[in-house]
Amino acid sequence: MILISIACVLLFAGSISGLFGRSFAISGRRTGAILQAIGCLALTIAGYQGLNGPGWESVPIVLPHLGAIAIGMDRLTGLFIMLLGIMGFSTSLFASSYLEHLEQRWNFHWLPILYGIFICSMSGVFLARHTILFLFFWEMMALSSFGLVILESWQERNRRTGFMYLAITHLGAALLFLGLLWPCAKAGLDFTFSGWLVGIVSMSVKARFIVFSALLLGFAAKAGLVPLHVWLPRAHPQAPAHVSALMSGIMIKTGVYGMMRFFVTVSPLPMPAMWGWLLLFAGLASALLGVLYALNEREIKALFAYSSIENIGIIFMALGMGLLFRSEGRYALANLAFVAALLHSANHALFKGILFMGAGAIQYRTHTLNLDELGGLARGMPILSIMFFVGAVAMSGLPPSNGFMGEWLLYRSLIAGFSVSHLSWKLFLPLIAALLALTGALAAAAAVKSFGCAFLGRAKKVDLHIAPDPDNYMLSGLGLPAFCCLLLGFFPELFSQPIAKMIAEFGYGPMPQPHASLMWPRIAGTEGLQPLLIASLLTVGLLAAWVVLKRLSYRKDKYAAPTDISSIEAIRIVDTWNCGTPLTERMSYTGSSFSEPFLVNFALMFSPRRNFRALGSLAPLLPTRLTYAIRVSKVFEDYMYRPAIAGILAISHSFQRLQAGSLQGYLSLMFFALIVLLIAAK
Amino acid sequence: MLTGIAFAIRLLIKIAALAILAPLIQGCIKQFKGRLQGRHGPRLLQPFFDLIKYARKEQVISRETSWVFSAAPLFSFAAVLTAALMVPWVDRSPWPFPADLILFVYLLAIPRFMMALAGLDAAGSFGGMASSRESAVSALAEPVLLLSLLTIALPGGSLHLEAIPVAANSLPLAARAGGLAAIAFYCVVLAEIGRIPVDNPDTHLELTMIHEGMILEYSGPLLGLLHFTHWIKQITLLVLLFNVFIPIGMMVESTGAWTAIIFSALIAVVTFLAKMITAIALLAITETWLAKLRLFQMMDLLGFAFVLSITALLFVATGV
Amino acid sequence: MTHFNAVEGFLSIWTIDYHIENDRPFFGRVERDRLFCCLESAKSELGARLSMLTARDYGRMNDRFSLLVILDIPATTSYLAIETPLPDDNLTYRSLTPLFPNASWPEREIRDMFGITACDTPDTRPFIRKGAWPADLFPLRKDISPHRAYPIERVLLPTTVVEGEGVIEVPVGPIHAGIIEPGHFRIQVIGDTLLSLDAQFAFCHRGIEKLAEGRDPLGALLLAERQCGTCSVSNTLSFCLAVENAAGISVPPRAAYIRVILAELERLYNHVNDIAAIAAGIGMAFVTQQGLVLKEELQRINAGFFGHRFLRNVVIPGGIRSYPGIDPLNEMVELLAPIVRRLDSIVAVAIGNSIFQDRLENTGILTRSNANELGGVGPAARASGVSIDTRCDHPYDGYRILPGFDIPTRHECDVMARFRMRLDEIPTTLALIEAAVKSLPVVSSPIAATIPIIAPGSWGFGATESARGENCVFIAFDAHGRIDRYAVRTASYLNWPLIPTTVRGNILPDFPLINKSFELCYADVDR
Repeated sequence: MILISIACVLLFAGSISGLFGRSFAISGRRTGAILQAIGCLALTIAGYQGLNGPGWESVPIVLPHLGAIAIGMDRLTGLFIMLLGIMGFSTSLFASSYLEHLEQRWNFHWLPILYGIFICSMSGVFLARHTILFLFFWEMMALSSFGLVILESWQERNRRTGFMYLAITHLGAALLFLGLLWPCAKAGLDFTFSGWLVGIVSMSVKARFIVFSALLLGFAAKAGLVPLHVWLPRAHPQAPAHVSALMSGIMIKTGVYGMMRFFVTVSPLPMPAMWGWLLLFAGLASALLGVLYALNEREIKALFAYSSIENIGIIFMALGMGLLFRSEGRYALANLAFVAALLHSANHALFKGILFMGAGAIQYRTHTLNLDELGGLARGMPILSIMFFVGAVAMSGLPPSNGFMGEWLLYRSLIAGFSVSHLSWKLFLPLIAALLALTGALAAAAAVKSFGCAFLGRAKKVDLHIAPDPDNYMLSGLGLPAFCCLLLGFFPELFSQPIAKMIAEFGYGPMPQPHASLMWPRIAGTEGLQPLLIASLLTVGLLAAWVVLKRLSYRKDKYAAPTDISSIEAIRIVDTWNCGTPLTERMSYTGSSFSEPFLVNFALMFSPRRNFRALGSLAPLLPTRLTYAIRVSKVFEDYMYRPAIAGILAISHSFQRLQAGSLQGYLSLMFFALIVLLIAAK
Repeated sequence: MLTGIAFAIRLLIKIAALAILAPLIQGCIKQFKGRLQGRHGPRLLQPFFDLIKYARKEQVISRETSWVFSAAPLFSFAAVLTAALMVPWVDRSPWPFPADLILFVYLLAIPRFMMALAGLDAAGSFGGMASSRESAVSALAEPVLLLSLLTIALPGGSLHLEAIPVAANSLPLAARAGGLAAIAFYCVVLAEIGRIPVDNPDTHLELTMIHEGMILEYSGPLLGLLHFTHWIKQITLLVLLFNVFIPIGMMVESTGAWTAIIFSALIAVVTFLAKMITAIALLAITETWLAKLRLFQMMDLLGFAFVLSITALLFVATGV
Repeated sequence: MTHFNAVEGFLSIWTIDYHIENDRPFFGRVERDRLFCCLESAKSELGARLSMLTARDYGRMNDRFSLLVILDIPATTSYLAIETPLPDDNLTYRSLTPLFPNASWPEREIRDMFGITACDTPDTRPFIRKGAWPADLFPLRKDISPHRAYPIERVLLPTTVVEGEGVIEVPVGPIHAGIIEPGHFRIQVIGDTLLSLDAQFAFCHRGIEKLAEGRDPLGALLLAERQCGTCSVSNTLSFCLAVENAAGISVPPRAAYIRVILAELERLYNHVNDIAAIAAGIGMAFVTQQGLVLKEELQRINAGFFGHRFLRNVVIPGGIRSYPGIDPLNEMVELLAPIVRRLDSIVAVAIGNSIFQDRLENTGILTRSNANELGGVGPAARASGVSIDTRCDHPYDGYRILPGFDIPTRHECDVMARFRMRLDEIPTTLALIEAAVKSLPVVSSPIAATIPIIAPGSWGFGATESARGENCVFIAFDAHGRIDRYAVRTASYLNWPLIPTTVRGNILPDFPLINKSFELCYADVDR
C-alpha cells in the first residue's frame, strides 16, 4: 500500500516536469522520466510482494451509496502490477532520451502528464476491488491512452484513428458497465467485487449468459481479439514508441486480467464448455489473422501491433483451454492452461516492450519505420540489434527464450485435452495445436522480416549504416526486458511457480510441488522440460563450434609472407556476390518482397489486387515506364466494418428524412413515441 | 552418479556416431543418386574430404555483413545438435533429460530462423530471395511436422521421442494411421532437408535456390559447419522417420544377461543400418524420379501432407 | 509471279535505282528521308518482316555511310535489300523501331559501332558500349584499328526502373554460378513475382565482324565457323551462301546434299540437348542425364563420320571439303534411328510426370502477336503458331531439290509447346537426312565449286535455318576481292527480345526454365 502510494506520487511528480516543457528542456524531461522510473520500481516491488506473498486489501474511502471503495493486492494483481512496474521502469528510462525528438511539439507537456496518468490508471485497474472504481480507472486508462494516441493530432489520419479507438473502447466499456453493474444491482447494490460475485451466483442462467457475453465482448475489445481488433493496429503505431510498448505490453492485458478476474476466479459457477470453445476459436482466429497481417505490414510498429493481436489470440486460446478443462472438471489441467495464459501474457509484455522500444529507437535515429526503406542498421547499432534480436527470438517462440516456454505450456494443455474422451476434443485439439505451430512459424517469419529487413542488408533510400546506437538510457530501457526474456527462458518457474500457486488458490487442482528437480513445470500429471539443461546444451554446442572455428581461422597461411599480418586470421573481406555487377541498394531485399510468397500462398485471405502497368508508345514490347502497386484487402475491415458503417450511415440517412424541420412533424413523432411507450409499459 | 556416467558415455557415443554417419549418409545418397542417373557419382567418403577442405580454407566474408552472419551457423549447429541428441537411434530406454517432441520441432525451427536472417544479411538479392522462400516453405512444413508426429504419439500419452516408438508398437491402429502419417512426415522431411521436389540440392542456378541461396556467402570453416549441420539434420530426420514409424528392432531394456544385451544390441545396430540403407535408397529414388515442384505448388504438397496427417488423426481420434 | 510484280512495282515507286536478279535478293536504294515511309509501305503492302538492319562504312570521303535494311517478303522466296546512303554531315535517321520493334537492338548497336543515331527511338541506351569506351570511338568505322584494346569498367547498366514500393532488382550474370555464357539479366521483382526483365549482352564481344574485314573468304571462314559452338554449321553455311551469292556460283549437287545432312545433324543434337536442358531446368535428373547421354552419342557420331563434334571444317565456300562416302552415311542413318527411339522413351517418362506437365504448361507464354511483332524465328516462333522456316521460305542448297517436307507448328505458346516443338521436328530431320543420303549421287562429281575472283564491290546474302531459327549473313567485298563488310544477324539475336515479353508475371524460379525453353546463344549476340 505504501509502495503503491509512493509510486503514484513519483509518477505524478514526474509528470509535472512536462509542464516545464521547453524552458528546462533536458533537465526537466530527464528528471521527470527518472522520477517516473523510480515510481515504477516501487510498483515492481509492490507487485513482486503481491505475487509471492500474502495479499492485502484496504479501504481508503467509504462513499455513501457506493460502499467501501476497496483496493487490494493478491497474486493475480501482483503479477500484472509487477509487469507494469518492470515495463514502466524500462519505458520511463527509454523515454528520458527518446522524448528529445518530441520536445519541439507544441503539446509536448501533455505527454509526461498523460503518461503518468496512464500508468496510474492501469495500476488502478489491477488494484481495484470495487466495480465502480474499476470502471473509473478503466475509463481513465482509455482516455489517457486516447490522448497519447492523438498526440500528433494535426494530421487528419491520426484524429480519425483516435476517434475510432475511442469509439470501440467505449463500446467495450459500455458492455463492461452492463456486465459489472447488473450483478451488483442484483446483489442489493453492493458494488464491491464480492458483491458482484454474490450477484452473479444468484442470477438466472440466461441473465448470466448475457452478463458473461457483455464482459467477454468488453474485455476482448480492450484486448484486441478478432474481430474487435481493428483499432489496435491503427492506434498502437501512432502513439510514441514507449507508450506503444506499454499499450501492447500491459494495456491490452487488462482484458486478460479482466477475463481472469471475472471468468476464472468465479470457479464455483458451472460454465458450459461453449465458452471455452468460443475463446479457443476466437483466439485461434486472432492468432492466425494477426500473424498473417503482421507479415504483410511494411511499417515496423504496425507489424508489431498485428503481432500483439496474434499473441492476444494465443493467450485467449489458453484461457479457452482452461475454461474447457474447467467445464470437464479437470482442474489440474485447467491450472496448466491458465498458467500458460498468464505466463504468455508476461512474456509478451516483455518481448513486445523490447520490440516497440527498439522500433522507437530506430525511428529516433533514422526517422523512418518503413521496412521497404530501412536496412543495414546492425553494423551501426550492434547493441540495439542484439537486444532487438532477443525480442525477435522471443516473438518467434524459439527455445531457449521465454516465448517458447509460454507456447510450450499451451501446446501441452492442448495436447492434454486428448485424454478427455470426447471425439471433438480428440479431433480438434491436436488440429489446433498444428495450427498453433503454423502461427508460430509465421510469427518467426514476421520476426525475420522485422529484424532482417531493418537491421540486415542495406538501406534502400538513405544510407543508414552509420546511424549509431542510441544512448545508454534508451539501451538500458531495452536491456531490462531483454534480460528478463532470457532469464525467464532459463528459469520460467520464476513466474510459473507463483502463477500456478495463484491458480491453485483460486481452486484449480493441487498446489504445485516445491523445487525438487530441474524439471519444469512442476504441475501434477504433466510431463516436463528442463529449460536450463536445454539452454546449457545449446550453449555447449555453440561454444564448442565457436572454439573450433576460431582455431581454424587463426592459423598460419603457408603461402603468406612471414611478416604479413593478415596471415594471422585467415579472413578476407570482399564484396557480396552479385554476379559480377556492383551491388546497389535496390538489390537488398525489402519487407514487401520478403512477405510476397506468403501473399501468394495465402491469397485467399489477402485477395491481393496487383496493378502492373507498362507505359509508352510501344508499351508491352518496349515500355518506357513501368509502375507497380498492390492492394491487399483486410477481411474484417472490408467485409464486416465497412458494410456495417455503410449500413448505419444509410439508415441514419433514411432517418434524416424524419428531420423535416417542421414543428408538426416532431410533435406527431413524439406523440407516436408516447403511445408506443405506453403500450409497451402495459 | 552411475546413471550420470552412463548418460555421458551414451552422449559421447552418439556424438561420435553422428560425426561419422551424418557425412557418410550424405556420401551414400550422392553416390546412389549418381548410379541411378547413369553417372559414377562422387565417392562415398567425399563429404569427409569436403569437410577437411573447408576447414583448411580461408574465410571470405562480405563487407555488408554484421554479427548475425557469423552467429547464425553457430546457433544453427547448436540447435540441430541438441535436437539430434534427443532422437532415439538404437535403443528406447528413456533419456535422463526429457526429449519432448514440441521442443524437437521448435529446436529445428532455430536453424531456419537463423539462416533466414543470415540470408538477408549480405544485402544481395539471392540470399534474401532464399530466406523469403525458406520462411514460406517452413511455415507450411511446421504444422505438418508437428501433427504427423502427434498422431503417433497421442495414443501413447507421452510426447517424449523415445516413448513414441513404444506407443506406436503397442497400438493396433498404428499401421493405418502410421502409414498415412509416415507419408506426411516424409513430405516434410523432403522440405526440411531441401531435396527434390521442394528444393534442388545440386543446383546453383541463381534463381531457383533455397537452401543453397542462404549459404551463398559462406566459405571456409563456416561453410563446412553449415554443411555438417545440414547433414546432421538430414540423418536425424531420417532416423526419426524410420524409428517412429517403423519401430522394429530397437533395443528395449538393458537388463538381463550380458549375452542377451549384446545380442539385442547387435540386432538393434543391424536393423538401424538396414533402416539407413533403406532411407538412402528412398531419398535417391525420390530425387531421381521426381522433378522440382513449382515454388508456389509447395503449398499443394504440404497441404496434401497436412490432409494426410488429419486423416491419420481421425483414425487415432475415433480409434477405428 | 504476281508477288514478283508487286515487289517490282514497290521498288519502282520508292527507290532511286533497283536491281532484280535471279537467286539474289531484290536490291533498291532509297533516300534517307523516305526510308521510314518506304518501309511502312513495305510492311503494310508486302507484309515485310525485318530480317536484318545494319550499316556500312565505305571508307571514302563522300557518301561514306549507308544503312542497310534486309526484309523478308513472305510471299516470295527472295529477300529485299534496301540501302540508304546517309549524308556525311548528319548521321541520323528516323528510328524504325515504331515500325519493327525488333529494330531496337540493331539501332542501338549501329549507334555504338558506327555512330549513326536513330531519332525518336524509345530505347537510347548503349548496347555494345560498356562504360569506359571513349565517346568518339566507333569500332566498325574503317579508321579504327581492329587490334586496339578497349578499357573495361565494372558498371551497372541503366534499366527502366519499376516504380512501386518494395520492388527490388535481381542481377543475374554476367558472371554466373554455373557454366553459362555471360549475359546480364536485370530482373525486377516483388518477392518471387517477376515484373520486368532486361537482358543485356556484349560482355564478351569479340569483334568478329571487324576482324573479318580485309580477309579473303577462306580466312573469314574460320571466324564464321567459330562464332558459336552449337550453330557452327548454320553460321558457316550462311557465310558460304553469302560468298557464293556474291560470286554468283552454285554448289555441286553432292555438296548440296551433304550440307543438308550436316545442318540436320546439327539440329538433331541441338534439339536433344534442348530437351535435356528443359528437364534440367526443373531438376528432373533422370531425363536430363539420359538426354545428355544421347546428345553425347550424337556428337560422337558427328565426330566419327565428319571428324568434328561440332561438325566444323566440312563446309567451305563453294561446297564441302570432304565426306565419308555413301556406305558410311547409310550406316550413320541406321545409328540415328535407335537414338531417336530411346529419346522417345525418355521423353515419355518426362511427359507422363505430373510435376513436369505442371511446370511446363502455361509457363512463359509467348503470344502469337508478340512473336510476330518482334519478328521471332525458329522453333520458338513456330511453337506460337508462326509458320516460319528458312528451309521452306527461302530454300537453299539441298532443300531446294529435296521433296517437300512438313514444318510443324503448335499453338499452345508455352514452355511445353516449345518442348514438344523440338520433338515434333525430329522426325522431319531424320527424314531429311535419310532422303539426302538416298539422293546422294553415286557418280564422282566434284564436291566443291571453285570460287572465282570476286568482282569488286559485289555483295551477297545468305540465310539458313539453324536449330534456333534464321541465321543471316551479309557480305560485301572491296576492290581486291577481300571482305569489306561482314554482318551477321543470328536467330538468337532476334529471339532474345522475345523472352522479356514471356516472363512478365511468371514467378522468378520459372525464369531459368523459360530461358531454357528458348535455349538461345549468347555468343551469337556477342559476335
